[in-house]
Amino acid sequence: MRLSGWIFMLVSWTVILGLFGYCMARTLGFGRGPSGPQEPSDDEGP
Amino acid sequence: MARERWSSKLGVILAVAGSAVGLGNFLRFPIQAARNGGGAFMIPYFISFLLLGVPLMWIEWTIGRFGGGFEHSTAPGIFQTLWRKSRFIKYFGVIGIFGPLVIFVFYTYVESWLLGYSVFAVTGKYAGCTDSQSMLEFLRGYKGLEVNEHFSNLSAGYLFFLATFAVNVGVIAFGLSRGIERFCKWALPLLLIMAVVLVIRVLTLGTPDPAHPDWNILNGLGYLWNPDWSALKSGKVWLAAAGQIFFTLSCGIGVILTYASYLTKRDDVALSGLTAAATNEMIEVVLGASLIIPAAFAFFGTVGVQDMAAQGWDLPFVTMPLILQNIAFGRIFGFLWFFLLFVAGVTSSISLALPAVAFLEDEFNLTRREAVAVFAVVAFILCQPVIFFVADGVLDEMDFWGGTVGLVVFGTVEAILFAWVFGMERSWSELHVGSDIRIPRFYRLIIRYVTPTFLLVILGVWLWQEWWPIILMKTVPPEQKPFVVMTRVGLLGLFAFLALMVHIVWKRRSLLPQVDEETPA
Repeated sequence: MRLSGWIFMLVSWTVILGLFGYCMARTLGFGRGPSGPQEPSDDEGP
Repeated sequence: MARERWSSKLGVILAVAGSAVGLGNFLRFPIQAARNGGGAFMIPYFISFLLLGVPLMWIEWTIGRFGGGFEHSTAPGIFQTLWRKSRFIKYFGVIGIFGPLVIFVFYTYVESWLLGYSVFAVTGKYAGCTDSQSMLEFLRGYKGLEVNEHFSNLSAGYLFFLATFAVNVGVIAFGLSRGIERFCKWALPLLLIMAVVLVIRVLTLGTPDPAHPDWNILNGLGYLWNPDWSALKSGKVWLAAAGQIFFTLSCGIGVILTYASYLTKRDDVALSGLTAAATNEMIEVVLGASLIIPAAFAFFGTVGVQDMAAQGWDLPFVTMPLILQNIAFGRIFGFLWFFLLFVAGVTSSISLALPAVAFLEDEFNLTRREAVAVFAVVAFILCQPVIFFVADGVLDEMDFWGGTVGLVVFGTVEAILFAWVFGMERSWSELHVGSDIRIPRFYRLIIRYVTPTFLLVILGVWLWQEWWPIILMKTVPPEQKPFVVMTRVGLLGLFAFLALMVHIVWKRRSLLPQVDEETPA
């Protein structure tokens, strides 16, 4: 495998694993974002 | 009757991810990447993920939860709640029941081959097959297409089909949280463990054949990941990347709508949708890409990998068993490979069954058991032509109409409905109700302009380049044409029947005293 292949593979894995880790951590409740849950809007129905 | 709900946030995420994770993650993605520029394919792939995949995930989760607030779990009712003035939009929603049902019918049969082969791997039934030709003969015998030393008729294949069908129906019959959610909660982690074990084994294969020192795992990974920059100039490569993202995330089928309809108004959809998408991508890019292509390259070299890509649905049943029976503990690894794909298949097929079952429950007031019984009888009957005419193009025809055309049309309709009919202001607000994350505001522009345009371009180019010759049967061998025509007539009849059911439901509803459909339940 060429150096460029290694770079693409590792960058791709890092991006995907980073996104997966972030989402799972937030889903499982490790650290809440600043926005927090929002209340439903008044315009609930169509 | 109280509406069913998911029992946990992780449960619904795993169920949606399970729906998305299927054979495509382990078979379609690596082949698409290898064919379309290797590492360079990841550039259009990631761009498509951000501009098409993630927005469609959010769209489906949001409108599914919104429609669920009005006690609708399937697309006809959900589309109607988004666009009340339209008399016809509910008929577009029929695609969201038709597509999953058609895919379920042929997918369950392919899934049963995986169950059969996982048993054959352990018992060593295909151990005598030492080349592609004999492995193909084994598969043809299993499908009942020829009598050979391995199989004298279809009975073994049919028994595995019955077992697979029973597993699917059984999981659905147990309901949402006790059936689907509980199943996915152990199936996804199990799938991950099996995939990791197989990846470790494949990545430690080294150079299996000393006579061919170039045929090794590193060069196999290079075959997949070395970038071919010229590929980025090809529109076909960009379309292939967009198509892969579209299909891998299960967008446009209608199952995410149904799953999300069982959320409550205050449940998050923004983070959940993103997490389900990220889980699918992790399994596809990190694990799926590290299995069949590197392994096939290490054993058969470049020519072998190119031949392999032409095998279609037969791919996992020919190449991987040949590879795995050449390594230590091959029977165990063979079992892991087939059972991994079987579990991935079941988590997808149970989601495909749900829209039809939910439609019967919601719109005809059947109990879950009654709805599952009706679905099982109909789906079982529809499976028979696929089983007995598998060599006559029936399966591929159903895959094309249910699994390709239906998806892209449905995805395009829902993206336009969300951004332009329901309105971006209301859609954005609805997406953020109960949200655990704040989505960057530039996604408003992406969802409004880029995603629908992207989908319309895909629809147009595919119609022009690929669909037209297929629709005109230019690629169908003459002996298969009668079967293909009959399949089309059957599918048209099924669609018309479902549309008639929707018509009857709404007609009946209009005769009842008007209930308040202006605010969610």
